Amino acid sequence: MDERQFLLELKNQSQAAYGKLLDDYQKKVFNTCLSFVPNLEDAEDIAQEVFVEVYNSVGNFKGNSKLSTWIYRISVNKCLEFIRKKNTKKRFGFMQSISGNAIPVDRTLYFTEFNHPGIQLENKEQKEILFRAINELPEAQRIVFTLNKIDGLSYKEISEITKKSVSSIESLLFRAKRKLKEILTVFYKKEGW
Amino acid sequence: MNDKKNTSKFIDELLDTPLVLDKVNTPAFFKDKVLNKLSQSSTEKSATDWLFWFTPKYQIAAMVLFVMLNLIALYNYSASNKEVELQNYAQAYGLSNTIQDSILN
Repeated sequence: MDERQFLLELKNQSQAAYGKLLDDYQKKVFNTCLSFVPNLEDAEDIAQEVFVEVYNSVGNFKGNSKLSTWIYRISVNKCLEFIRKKNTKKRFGFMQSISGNAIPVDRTLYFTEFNHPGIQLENKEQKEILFRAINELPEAQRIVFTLNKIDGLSYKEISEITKKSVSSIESLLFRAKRKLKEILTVFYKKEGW
Repeated sequence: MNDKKNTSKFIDELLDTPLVLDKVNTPAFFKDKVLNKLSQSSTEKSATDWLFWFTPKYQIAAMVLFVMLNLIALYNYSASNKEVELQNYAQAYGLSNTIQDSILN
């Protein structure tokens, strides 16, 4: 079945087509979510939301890009939405604690409990520090760095997902690396390295 | 100085090593959970389907109509009240030309 026919069946809300879509994309979507939100439960919830969104919006999908690119785009947006919400909650919790109305909040710096099953135990601490540093990056740099370095996508694929040129992807990646180096240097200095 | 160099080297290595992580399988029953969510959302959708025509355009029109009806009702109510109040005032001060029933008459 070609993509056009498949898309048509999805638009007609065929259960069989959705079953196939889930079989084909569930692992990719789940792993992308894990790259942005390294927590098993949170990533699962987001991945589920991605498929609900695909189901609800496929009628509006005009087919200007590949289906996989469109699904990736939804996944990235859902993850960023989640991170934004969590970071706002953290900031609110911090403001509450300094204004004296302390409410029980998770005081760790990161927006979620780090629990990525794809990371070997011996690398866990190092990777956790790196993920925290990635969270400090500006959003555009974070997207590009995560998709390229963690999810392993090519510049071309990232440029299709983010609707940016390959040269701007390269530039964002360069800036992301430079910024990460700054963040990590400050961090390790504080740690007494 | 040497420590600074070492830290910088360590960070460079950390950023340059491929970070691509092991691919993880989706949790058990992921597909079932999604399909369940989808069937729930389609039931909710069909429950609200009968209001699909009530677009913001109609919502604004309905609100304007509601406000206008209320203003007309308020105007009529205050106009009729004014008349009654005036009659009461006139009667209280004996200015009314209506014949009052009194035991003195």
